Amino acid sequence: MTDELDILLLRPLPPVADDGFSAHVMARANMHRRLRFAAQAAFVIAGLVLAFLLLPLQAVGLELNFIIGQVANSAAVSMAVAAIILTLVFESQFSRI
Amino acid sequence: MSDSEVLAREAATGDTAAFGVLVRRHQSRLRGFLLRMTRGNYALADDLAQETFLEAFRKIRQFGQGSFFGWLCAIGYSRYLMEARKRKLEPLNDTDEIAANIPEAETASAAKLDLEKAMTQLVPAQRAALTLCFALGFSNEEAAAALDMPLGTLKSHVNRGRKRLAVLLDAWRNMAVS
Repeated sequence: MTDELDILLLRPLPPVADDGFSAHVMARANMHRRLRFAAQAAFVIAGLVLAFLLLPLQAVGLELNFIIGQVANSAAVSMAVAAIILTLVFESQFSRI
Repeated sequence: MSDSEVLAREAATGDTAAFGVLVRRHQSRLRGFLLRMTRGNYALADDLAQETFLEAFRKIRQFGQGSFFGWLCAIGYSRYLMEARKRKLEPLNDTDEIAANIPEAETASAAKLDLEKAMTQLVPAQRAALTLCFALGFSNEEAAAALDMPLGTLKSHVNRGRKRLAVLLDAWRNMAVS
């Protein structure tokens, strides 16, 4: 009986015809991918809209303007920029020698 | 690395066509496995197979080492267990109720020596273990990984399942003869 049983068990499973199964699965997979993309895009757009609505953009703009003005008028920053430019110029001159 | 595993790697990079090839290549065996798990319920087996492929599609980046078909069977088996619990399709644990499941003599005379029918009398873990190890040619290690159970447990399911099948088929045959 055991040998007979093993022969029965070792028989491969009967093949199942595709009959559009694969096409149906792939259609659902593509739909899933499109939905996921749409959901991600909607999430990003919603985030941007929320940021636009909730952030005090005018105050942020004014603050940025002030900071840029301060930096531009700062002696320390001007000296640092000058030092960097001089270093680069000297470096290029010495590399030729 | 086999061809299917190469295709799975390509699918993980977003190549949908590669995944399509995998579906066409493995649908028959996966549906056959799930058909046996669902005890011949074609509609449920096909639903489970579709959900299995879709879950594989969603999680394709998580596919690691080993056989792609083994990974599919692991997903399919776990989906079958979830469905069986939800719908209360059958007892999932071994209950040693062979005697209660042997058909009556009058129906047994009509019952032929039918493996599929005998398989329906086994608990799901035994049915899955026997199908993977025999009909689908998995090694014990591969089957244990697919069914998410220790190797010793798998071997125990295979042995107990074979014994049960032998008892059932013998009993049916004797009843048919008498």
